Amino acid sequence: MTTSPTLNSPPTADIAAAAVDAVKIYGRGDTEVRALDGVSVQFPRGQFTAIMGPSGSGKSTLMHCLAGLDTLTSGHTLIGPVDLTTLDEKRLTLLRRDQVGFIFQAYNLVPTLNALENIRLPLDLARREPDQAWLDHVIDTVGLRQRLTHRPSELSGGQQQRVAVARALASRPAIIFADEPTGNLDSRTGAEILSFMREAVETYGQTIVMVTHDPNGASYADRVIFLADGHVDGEMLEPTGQKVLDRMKGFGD
Amino acid sequence: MWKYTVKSLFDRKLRLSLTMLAIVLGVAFTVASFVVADSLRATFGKLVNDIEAGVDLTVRSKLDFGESTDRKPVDAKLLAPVQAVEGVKAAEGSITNSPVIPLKANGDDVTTTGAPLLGVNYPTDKNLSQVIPKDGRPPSGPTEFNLDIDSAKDNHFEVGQTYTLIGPKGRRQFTLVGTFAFVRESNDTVGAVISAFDTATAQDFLDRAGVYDEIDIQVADGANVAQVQARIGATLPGTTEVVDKAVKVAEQRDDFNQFTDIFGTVLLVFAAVIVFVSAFIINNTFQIVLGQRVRELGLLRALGASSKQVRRSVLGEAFLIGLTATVIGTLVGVVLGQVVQAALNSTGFGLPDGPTQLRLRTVIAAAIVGIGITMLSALSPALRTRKLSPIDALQADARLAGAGLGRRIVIGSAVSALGLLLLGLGLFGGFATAPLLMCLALGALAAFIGVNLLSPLVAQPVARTLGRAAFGWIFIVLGGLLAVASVGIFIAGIASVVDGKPAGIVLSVVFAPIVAGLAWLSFDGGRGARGLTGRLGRENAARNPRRTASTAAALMIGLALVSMAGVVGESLKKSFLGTLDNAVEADWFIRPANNFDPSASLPQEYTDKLRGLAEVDSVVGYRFSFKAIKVAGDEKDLNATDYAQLSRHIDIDVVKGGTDTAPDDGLLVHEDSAKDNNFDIGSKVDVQFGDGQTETLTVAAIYKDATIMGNWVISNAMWNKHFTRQQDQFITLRLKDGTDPVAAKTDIETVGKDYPQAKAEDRVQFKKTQQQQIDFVLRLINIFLLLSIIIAFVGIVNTMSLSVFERTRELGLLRAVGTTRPQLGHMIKWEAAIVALLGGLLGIVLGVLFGIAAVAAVPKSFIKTTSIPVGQLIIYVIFAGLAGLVAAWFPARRAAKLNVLEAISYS
Repeated sequence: MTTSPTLNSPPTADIAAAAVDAVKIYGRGDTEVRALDGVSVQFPRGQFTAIMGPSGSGKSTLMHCLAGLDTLTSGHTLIGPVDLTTLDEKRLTLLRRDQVGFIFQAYNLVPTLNALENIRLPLDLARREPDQAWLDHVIDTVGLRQRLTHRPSELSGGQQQRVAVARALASRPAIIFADEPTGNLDSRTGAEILSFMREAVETYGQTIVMVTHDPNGASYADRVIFLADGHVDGEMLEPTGQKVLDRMKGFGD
Repeated sequence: MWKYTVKSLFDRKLRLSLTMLAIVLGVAFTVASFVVADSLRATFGKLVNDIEAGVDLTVRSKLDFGESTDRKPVDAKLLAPVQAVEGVKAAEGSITNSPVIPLKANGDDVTTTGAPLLGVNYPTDKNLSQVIPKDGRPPSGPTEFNLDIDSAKDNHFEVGQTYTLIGPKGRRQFTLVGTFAFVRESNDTVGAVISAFDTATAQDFLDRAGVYDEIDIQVADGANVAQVQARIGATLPGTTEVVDKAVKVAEQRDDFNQFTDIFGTVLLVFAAVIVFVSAFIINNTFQIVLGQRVRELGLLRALGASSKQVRRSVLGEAFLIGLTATVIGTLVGVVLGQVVQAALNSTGFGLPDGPTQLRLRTVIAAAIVGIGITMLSALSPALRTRKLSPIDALQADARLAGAGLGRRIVIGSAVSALGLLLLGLGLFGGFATAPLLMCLALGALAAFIGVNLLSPLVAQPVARTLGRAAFGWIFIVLGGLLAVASVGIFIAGIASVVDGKPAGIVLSVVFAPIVAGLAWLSFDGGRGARGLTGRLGRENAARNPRRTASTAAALMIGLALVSMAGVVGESLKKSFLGTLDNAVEADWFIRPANNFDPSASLPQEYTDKLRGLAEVDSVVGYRFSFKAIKVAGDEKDLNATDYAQLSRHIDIDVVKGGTDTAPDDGLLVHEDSAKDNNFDIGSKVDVQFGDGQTETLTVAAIYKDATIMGNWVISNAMWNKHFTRQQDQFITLRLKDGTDPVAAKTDIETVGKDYPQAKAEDRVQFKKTQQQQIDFVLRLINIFLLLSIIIAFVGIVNTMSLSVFERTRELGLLRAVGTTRPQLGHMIKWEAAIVALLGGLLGIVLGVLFGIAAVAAVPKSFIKTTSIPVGQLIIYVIFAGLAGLVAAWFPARRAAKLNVLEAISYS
């Protein structure tokens, strides 16, 4: 197993999120599945990290637990200095609202709200007045100025996903989790979305953690963490599509 | 395929039970109304048979038409010749009069909840007897009486004690020497209080000097009843007749059935409303459920099921649901029927015990309602699956195609127009009662369906308007008021416990928390109207106008009927009070205390005493009988009064002639009736009375206001010649000008103390009781309609639950990005409130229109003004909204409990 300074070291102010000895077990007895089997990993602030691994490797489970959508069987997950395992349902919800941004693979938007309302959703839920300059900036960055009053059903898949990216950025969360954000898009549109995410990291120092299957997608990240059978199975800094692809060929055999 | 149908049903238990609940309620109420009516009929039928058990023939006065209480007594001298007729085994005169009010030991009068207080003569001949001796011995002599055993027990009468009885002629002391059961050991008095005397005493005390009401006859064993009947007939004068048991039983049964039929019909009408409302809910549920299953059905098609098989599967599912609901509903209905009967008994009706009647006809009706309505409701969604192609299964957002907007407008407008046409035809077509009601019912039905078809067009903008945060404030305020009420109820409960009434704890422990819960829901829901949750709730209510409109429609129907009743009731009240203010000069109004006894009257002695008071200027008496005269062959309702003073008491708005100097054989006619018959002042009118005689009366006045006096009025003197009841049923007093009203009140009430059978009210009290009577009927109607509103409520729960289910992923997304559970609840509650507000609003708009139409259809002489209880209607709508908030409680809880991760990945 490859070790690096970013794994297994204590959380510091520069760590946006971390998992410490994270264990997640589904089922019991014969049907027991250890989705996470002692994962420890840290995500430094301002980094774009991709999590990769074959199906069933636990990458989605890790992300869900990190994001406060799911709870661990044992171990800890942290967002900034906050240990999520100490939070109740309500605090978790508020933490998601205020500290976390989400981009899902599909069904990212509320169909009854228009694009602008979807972007402002976490802010409006918190009854927080948005930073208008920032909001304008985000909207212009993703190029949605002309589409703000459209409902999701009137937008293309790529446009919908751009709205989702804008929503994730709008509240300036401590960290954004993206769950295969390009999985439903053609490669050109997908590349566009990934560029936006990359730009957010470079220009604004946004922290992003993305689960993906796609080696090309992973190449937009600063770092790739590989998972297998609920373990961290190494990492790769400054990934390229080819390097990732080669690394992945080693899986599953 | 059938296996699939059954399996798919039981996979969705919650959905299934919610759908069935609406049908079960509809079926149960239908069954209950039949069961109650049938059981009452059977019970009364048997009771009547038992009452007439020993009586083969009856001699009585002839009564050609009119109320049976108007039948005159027969001369007591007829008894001896009848007894002497060959083949007569026993014959005895029977006497019945009311009211006879026993006073309890403490001086209070014995009361009933409406049943009469009767006085009878105690039969001496066992064969003819309807009484079964219990304690003591039968009465004998002028100072003894018996009481039926239940009345004696309930009012703590003891054999051997002396009590005061108030009879038609005044009060007298009697010693209770025994008790008896009436007709059967179970003492089947149907709630009446029966005092019995020996025949001579009864003739005196019950105002039947020298007469009997009837002569009961038993024929000797082996004698031919018809021959004996003929022989008796030969001894009788022309004004009397002898009838056999069959005739009497049939008559009495008809009397009972008249009551049962009205009662049964009322129940059936409400059952029909409930079934109609249920149909909307069932239809809506099927639409939503099938909409959600489009992909599944498409998959079936892709796997090789034919379009016909899919359709059959859907209809098969409806059949199974309908069948199950019919079975459950029938059982619930029988129980409900028994509960209704028990409830009737507990209010003092004292119905005799009888078997619960579940007829085949009832079961068939239940099946038609349960299975028929369900299948009919499933028909349109089932037909829509025809357009479903296998490819639909592969599409993520597959939907069932609805009817096009254009077609909806055309059909909706046509059906609405048909409804209005039928309503108009019914109201102004001059039909007889039955077709008129049919027209109105069908018209209302069509109007409801038409409005339902059209309402999706307005649902979107109206939902968005009603969903504004401003409307949320109403519920925030209502929540505050309810919270205060809850605290008040809690304190009242504690106070009554401290007062020594431990039952008051129910207020504190049960009602106060319920009201507090409502307060919280109202407050919470009102809060939900604000901000993003309000916006989401609003948009959710607007996103599927058809669904919103259908859900609202169920509530609309109930509220439309409630509002219509409100408008009619309010108009009636306003008209009546207006008449009282403008047309009535009298100061006091006196009526029998027992409103429900049609033969109850006021003793002459009492009237005379009142007339003798120093403050009293004049007294006018009134009598009334349904269908008591015939004019040109048609039966008319009749009023009688004292002509000389009438105009000083009531202004009936005479347009021609006058009443002050009208002779005893003068006739007062309403202008409509006068016009119909071409009468003018001085016209000679042949009036036929029920006793077989005809009088030629002269039209003395034609008047305009029929509110109080009806259409046909004769003099009390004329009345006395043709009716048994010689006493007033209602009297008005006019005080002398300048009299001190307080002193007058004291004097009138002092006189009244001796006459508990009379209730004297001054103008203010009289107004209040009249209003209360109308309010009572309105409340009764509202209670029945509440059932349909409860079903509509179930419909909202149903739709909201299904919508929550359908939007699982969306809710998951909202939760993921930071929507709290309470916020999710706010959103769902506010959506439900909007749906309910829409239903309420549509309901009162339709209801007011119906109400105005109904008032227009009533003759102007009866209801003069149309009055809309605006405040009341607004409260209805607000409470409809509150009902929506309550209905959303369960779906909101379910939504809040959703697992975020599972919800997001739900497909």
